[in-house]
Amino acid sequence: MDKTFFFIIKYNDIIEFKCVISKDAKYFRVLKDELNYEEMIRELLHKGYKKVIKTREEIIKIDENKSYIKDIFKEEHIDINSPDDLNNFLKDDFDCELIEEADAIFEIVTDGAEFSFQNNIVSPSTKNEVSMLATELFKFTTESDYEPIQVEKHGSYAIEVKDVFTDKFNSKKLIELIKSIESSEIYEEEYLKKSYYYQFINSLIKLVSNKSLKTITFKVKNFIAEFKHKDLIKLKNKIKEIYNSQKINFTSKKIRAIDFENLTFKVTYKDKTLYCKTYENILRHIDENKNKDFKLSGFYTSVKTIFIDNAFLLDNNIL
Amino acid sequence: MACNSIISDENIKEAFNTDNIKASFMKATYCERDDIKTAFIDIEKNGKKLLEHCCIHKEYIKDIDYKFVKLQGIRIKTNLRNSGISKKIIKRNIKIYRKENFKCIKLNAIQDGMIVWSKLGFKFDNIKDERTILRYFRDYLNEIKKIKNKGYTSIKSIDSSDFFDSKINFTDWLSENTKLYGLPMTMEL
Repeated sequence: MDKTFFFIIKYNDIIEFKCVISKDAKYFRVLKDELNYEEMIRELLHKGYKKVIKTREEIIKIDENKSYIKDIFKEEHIDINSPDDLNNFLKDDFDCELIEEADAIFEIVTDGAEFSFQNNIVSPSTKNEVSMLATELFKFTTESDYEPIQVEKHGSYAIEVKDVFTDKFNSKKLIELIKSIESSEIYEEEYLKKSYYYQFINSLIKLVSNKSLKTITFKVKNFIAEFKHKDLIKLKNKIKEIYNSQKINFTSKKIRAIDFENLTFKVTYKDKTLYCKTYENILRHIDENKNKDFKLSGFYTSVKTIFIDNAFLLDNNIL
Repeated sequence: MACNSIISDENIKEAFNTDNIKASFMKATYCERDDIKTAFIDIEKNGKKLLEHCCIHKEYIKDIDYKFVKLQGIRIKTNLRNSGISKKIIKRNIKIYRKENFKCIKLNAIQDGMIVWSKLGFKFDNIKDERTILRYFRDYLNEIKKIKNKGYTSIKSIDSSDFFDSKINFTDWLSENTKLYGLPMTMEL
């Protein structure tokens, strides 16, 4: 297997730039960049460095009493042809480091009829869902907003997450999170903040919607936890309960896609589309005044769906 | 002289003629080669000399398909620095050189020049050079001025007063602590 090279720049022991770089130093992917180092790295890898060296001084006589000392410079071009070249070139002025292939920090293994890596049974969209789950779990434990390196493993569809943020990776936090899932516990306050935790739980629930999923296993060092599909359904139901307990009131101008058969309509709220279900009399009232502004109130039944139990015309309270 | 087609002596002086600043030649211009015209210029304002040492040394160079100006040296008197003289001169230079179809002004920045030229709109030929200066500037702020900061992404964005301190100025500190010298910079015209 080819080695993966990570190149990092630190300041006061804090990683400010991190990228994966190809072994011929032609390609790189930025994983973290807090001070716009990317421009410099791109230029060095693509154009190299124009080095100017003072070789000598030349004395030019201006008049009888005055002379001028001219610096004579020589230009050299430095090419960067490998991750090593980059590291060696920058290390005199920057606290940088080149790391070859990091160990896996955790692994997610999925199993079920549609989850075999062999013979391409697992579909790209399912792969993407597992990958999202791994990414969100990584973001939660490192509080870093970027995508880590993931390696697919043969057998049951598995993803190994590799990275070099060992200083930030919090395995204890990850294990605690997995244990909370074992007891079907949801940190409601954290979830409602729409934090990394919220993203992780939602990506887990999305994966659980795949009925062919039998188990998900999380491996963190020596800690292994296996979840059966039915265990995770409990978690899904807990989320539903949380949503059901959340009352929402908002004003909307763009009510559309009114569907009397399913008693649904769509509405834009905070630049996002919400799917609403409601009673027939409310839907009729909305339909009769669909170009007008409404104040709607209801409760979430899922992330994007709301049950509307009241609708007021803003200029004339009815209902 | 063959090199006179690059720029006339009148226009060399005209490029400094602003805000009562007058230019004169300290020595007659000459052709270093057919494609390089060299000038040693003195400048004064209301009869007072503005330069610390000898002169402004410029080379006007004709390449195969374009012309450019190489600024070899300029040193404004210490007490006149930060008074806006360099800015006025560069502004006037740009106007005349553009008229004369020069493509850019090039220089190799040393000491204060690494900051001053950057502030006046010159760009480092190597992005790495500016990043290196900024990286050392953080050390200077930490060590000398006892200021913790998150770092800057351009020299232009730094307040000029931050480069000065009663103990040691940044550029002097930089000379003492690094080997940075002669960093190529360009201003496109």
